[in-house]
Formats: sequence, structure tokens, C-alpha cells
Amino acid sequence: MTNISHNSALLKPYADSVSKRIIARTGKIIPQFISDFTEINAKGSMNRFTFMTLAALLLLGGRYYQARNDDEKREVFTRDFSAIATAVYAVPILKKFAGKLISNGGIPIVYDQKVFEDNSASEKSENTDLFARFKHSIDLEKGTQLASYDQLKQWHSVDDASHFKNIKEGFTGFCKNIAETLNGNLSKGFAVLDPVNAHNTLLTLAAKFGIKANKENLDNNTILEIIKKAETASGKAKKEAEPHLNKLMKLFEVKKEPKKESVLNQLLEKASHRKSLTEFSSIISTAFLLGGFLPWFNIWYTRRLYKNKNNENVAYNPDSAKNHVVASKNNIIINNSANIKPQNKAATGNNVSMAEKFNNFQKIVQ
Amino acid sequence: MIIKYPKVYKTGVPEAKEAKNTGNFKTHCANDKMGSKSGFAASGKTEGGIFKKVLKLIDRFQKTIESGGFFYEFLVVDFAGMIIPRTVQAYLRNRDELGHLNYKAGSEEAIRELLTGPSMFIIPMAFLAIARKKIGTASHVKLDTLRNFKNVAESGIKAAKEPNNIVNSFYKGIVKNLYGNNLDTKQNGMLAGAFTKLHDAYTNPDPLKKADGLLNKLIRIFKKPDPQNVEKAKNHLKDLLIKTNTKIGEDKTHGISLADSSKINLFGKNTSAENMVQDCMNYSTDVLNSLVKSDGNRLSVLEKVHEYKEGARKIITTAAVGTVAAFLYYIPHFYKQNKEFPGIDGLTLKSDNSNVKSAGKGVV
Repeated sequence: MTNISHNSALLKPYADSVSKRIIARTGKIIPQFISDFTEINAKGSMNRFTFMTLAALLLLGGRYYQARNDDEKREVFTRDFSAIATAVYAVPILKKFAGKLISNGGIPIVYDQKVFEDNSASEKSENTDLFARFKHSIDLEKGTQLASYDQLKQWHSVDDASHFKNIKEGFTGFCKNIAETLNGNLSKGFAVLDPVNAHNTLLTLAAKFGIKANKENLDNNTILEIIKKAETASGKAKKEAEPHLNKLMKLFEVKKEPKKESVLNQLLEKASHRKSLTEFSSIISTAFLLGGFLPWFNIWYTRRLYKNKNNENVAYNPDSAKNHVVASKNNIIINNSANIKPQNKAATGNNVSMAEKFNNFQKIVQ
Repeated sequence: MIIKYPKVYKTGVPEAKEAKNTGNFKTHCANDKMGSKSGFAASGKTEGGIFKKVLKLIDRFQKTIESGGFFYEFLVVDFAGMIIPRTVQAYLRNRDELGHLNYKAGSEEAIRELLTGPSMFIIPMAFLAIARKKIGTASHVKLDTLRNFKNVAESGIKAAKEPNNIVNSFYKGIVKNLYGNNLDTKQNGMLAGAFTKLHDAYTNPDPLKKADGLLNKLIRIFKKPDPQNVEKAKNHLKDLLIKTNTKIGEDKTHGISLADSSKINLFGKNTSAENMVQDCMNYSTDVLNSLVKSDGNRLSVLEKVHEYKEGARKIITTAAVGTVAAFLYYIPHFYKQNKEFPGIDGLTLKSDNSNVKSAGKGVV
């Protein structure tokens, strides 16, 4: 209970000042669609649509309008617009697909946002409609999301085997989450945790409960059936199954030592490494695309344009014999020397002849 | 003590055919009597060892970024991925033609990139920091969440028998919204109690001090909430929420799934438990505290407080985004230190390119 004093002398009427009323009235004037557009979260981030709108219209538009020449205007598109589009859309999509690809190996590091939503109506159409599935897969707010390290810890480990009791359906529920919700491979997971004994333990349990299983057919459904039967057994069957079941549960423990980093189980460590590699590679690819390739391409293209422009400037008009007038888009150059052979205007020539022409041109101008 | 190691033979030499210790150091040391903890294996100067070390380094790096929060992650990626490589490329632009580094292009690029990325976060954060001091912590709560909180607060005021119970009553309503019928009255009360305890840790620095009057007033003014108490209460609440979620397992209506036990729906929107708790505290320590401390008709006080807080929230967010927009538009004024575009320095035939713009429409 909030321990505010019961002394009513401390209670005061609410101070409704003039400034507060002005603020309240001013706020009412602002239309709802503007406040929706300008919404920011507690950390100061805008939503993606607002970000992209500001970037496209004001950031790029401002740079374009205030550019000093046409080259700078062109570079706003080749360098800046492509960078923003890549950063806001392309890189997160790449990250999603990379994460999904790595998760296909059987150790989940991604989840689908729809596990939190009641989508029974839309789910049916998504299963049949290709376009709907594609749209869902590239939706950045929904669809596949890369898990956080805390989530990986929840999925692949427990602090102590006794904590399985706190999960719905216990150890079965924990394994069901990996197999059904996250589309993981339980057989692979157990093999990573204990390559030698885990499968044998599962097969021993299967034999006790009359489940037909061998190393080849240990799929998710079979493993879930084995664990469920072992966990829900009673009496003598429970006593016999308990040591084997405890062995399997202990595999997921994270060993904590005082004043030291906890020792992760192999499955969590592997999942953690895979997530780190996915994210690190997305940082590297971002750096390559936005910091490396796009600026390089931009500079290369500008240089190429100027190289062609300079080559045009040095070409000669073949029609005029005495006065070789070279009309360039930038400068008018008159060549009065009769010794210079008229060249084909359109000829770009090889580098050596171009260099000669350029040298001759420089002599004339000087 | 003399430490002996069995001789290791290179693969391919005649002795290797019969020798047990053939191959690389790692497999050898793993098999020898000293075990894999021997000095040679531990130093791991083989391919597998280095790869694992690099992997651990990358793992640690990524965990540091994630724990630092979104802004920290953005800064690292923006600096390492955009600002530094682009600035380097700008400095090296047309170096051969110029005969030296392109200082003009490099400095323009550095200023442009440094001002663009961080400003999109720093400006809104600055506005929120000012709002926190001048308006109150409720200014950090999104508008639609504020309105939903108001509905729950109204029910809380009506249900509470005395002012001291308003906060607890409010949180009972919040827990009901979070979990619906998944919890019984006792569990609901326990969770609401944990929320209220956190609220008290924020607002009552010394709940054990029962002295009335001036002393209590002075304590409340000068003593800030004990951060340890707040952290303790926050962690306890977070653990309780996660335990409750794992116990329930799956409930899509309330956004509960074992895929992430720290996520839950508040007013139909999926959010993390941490953000949800922070929103609740931002609201209750500001708005509900004003209600509890005021006398008179609390429902009309709630109405007035909300008009003020919602109006302020709209003004703050509009002003923040508007300022970002204006700043982004005016960034070119800061980096355009040269009259001409330095990106084509060294590329034009004439030594100066001052006629480029003046050539008019014919210029490419």
C-alpha cells in the first residue's frame, strides 16, 4: 500500500495553472494524424515510416535543392538515397533471411512474430496465398525476427533442472516450444548437448514405454512423445524413467559459479555463436554496402563521366581545315595551328593518341 | 620436476607409420596423459583454437552492443560502417589528379555524416529529457497508452476506498488487462502488490520513516529514491512477470508465448515486460501521485491532469520531430564550406571549375 501520510493537511487542491491550461489547449489543436506521425518511443526513436519520410523529403530533398552543381545533385541519388533505402529496408531484410537460413540448421535463433498474435483468420489465407506469405516474410515489424540473447537463454537453457516445473507442461512444454513454436530440431539439439549418450538415453526411455524408435527415426514428434510419457508416468514406471529423464534435463543447465561467467551449455553456446555471426555479418555487409560500395560507385561514376567529358573536349571538328574549332559543352577552344591533323570528332581513339592530342592541345592553349 | 612430452612425428615421415603421436599438436595433446588441459593444447595454436577464440570475441562484442541498447548499437554501426569508411574515401577522392589528399571533400563528408545520423536520435532524446523535468515522467508515455491508462485509473479511483489505495487499485486493473482470466484473485493481488512496491520505491525514499509533518516533507524533497531499492523491486517484478508467463505457457489473446516469456500485450499491443513496467511507472509516479496528494473530486482532477499531460505530449513529439526535420534540411549549410563542389576537384580540364555552374543548362 502506498505510504502517503494520512494527515489530510498534507493534501492540497490540484494546481491548475494558466500555463498548464495553455499547454492543454495547444495540444488539442494538433490533429491526431500529426501526433501519430510524430510519435516517438521512450528512447527517442521514430517509427520507420516517419524516419523514411523525413530522410527522403528533408534530408535528401534539402541536399538536392542546396546542391552547388549538377554533379552534387546526381550524387544525392547515387550515394545518399540508395544508402538510406538500404539501411532502412534492405539490411534488416537481409538480416531476417540470414537468420532464417541459419535457423534451418535445426538450432533456432529466430522466431515469427505471429506466435504472439491471434491470427487464426489470416493464417488460413497465408498458407495458400503465395503473395501473402511473401509479404509477411519481408514485413519488418512482423514476420521473422532475430532473437535476443535473453530469448536464446530462455529457449535453450535453464538455471537449474528444477525450474522446468515452472514452465507449462514442464520439460515437455520446454521441448515443445523448441520443436513446434520455433521449428527447431530436437534430435540435433540433444546431439549437440551430449553427442555420445543423449540419443541412447532417449531410446532407453522409448523402450521402457513401448515406443518404436531408433536412431534414424528420432524426429521431433517421437522425442516429444517419449518425454511426455516419461514425465507423466506414475508409480514404478516413473521410478525407472526418472534417472534417465533427469539426465536429459540436466543437459540444459547453465552452470553458474560465484564471481565467474556462467558456463553455457553447448546448445546455448552454439545458438549464441550463430546469432553473433549473423549480426556481425550484417554489420560487415552494412559497412561494405553503405560505407564501401555505394561511395566507391559514386566516385567511380563521376570520374567516368568526367573522363568522357574530357575526351570529348580534346576531339577536333574534321570539317574545318584551318581553324580547328572545338566546341565543347564547357569551353570553346580555337586551334589555329595548321600542323595539327584534323581528327575524327567522334573518335575516342586509343589512350596513346588521346594523350598526344591532349599534350598538343595544352601547348596551343598555353 | 621434468615435464616430458611424447615425441610428435610429422605425417609422412617413415616413423609416422608406427608412431601413435602423429598429426597436429591439438589431437596429440588431447590424447596424451596430461589431457586436454596441458599447456600446449590450452595455448591452442592450431586452426580450431584460433577460430573459437575469434568466435568468442565476436560473441562478446555483439553481446556488449545488444546490452548497450538501440542507440549504442546505432552509434557503433553508424561510426564503423558509415562515417569512417565514407570519410576515408572522400579524403582519397581524386588523389592522383590532385597530387595530395582531397581535404575539402573529406572534411565536408565528415561533417555531413557526423551531423546526420546521431541528430535523428539526439534531438528527440533532448526533448524527452527536458519534458521529463518540466512536464513529468508521463510525457514519456505514448499518447494511446496514456489514454488507456486514464480509463484504468478512472476504474481504480472508483474502486479504491481511500486515496492510499488508488495506486494498488490501478495496478489490479493493469494486471487484469495483462492476464485476463489466467490469474485468480490472489495471484492478481500479488502481482499488483509487486507493481505497487516498485511505485513506492520510486516515490517514497524512506518508507520506514513514519514521522509526520515537516520532517517527512523535507525527506521527500531532498532524498532521491534509493537506486538499489528501485532496482531490487524492478528485478523482482520482472522475474514475477516472466514466471507468470512461463506458467501460462501460451495465450495468443494476451500475447503470451514461450517463444519469449518477457513479452506481453498491454492494451492489445505486444511489448516487452521491461518497457511495459517503465511505462506504468512513468504514469503512476507522475499522474497517480498527483491524484493521491490532491484533495477534492479526484475524477475531475484526473481529467485536468490528463488534458495537460496529453497536450504536452503532443507538443513535445511534434516539436521534436519538427526540429529534426528542420535540422536535417539545414545540414548542407554546415558542411558546404567551399564555394564549389570539391568532389570534382582535379577532374576538370581547367584548373578551376568556377565556370561549371555558370555554363548553364548545357552542363552535364
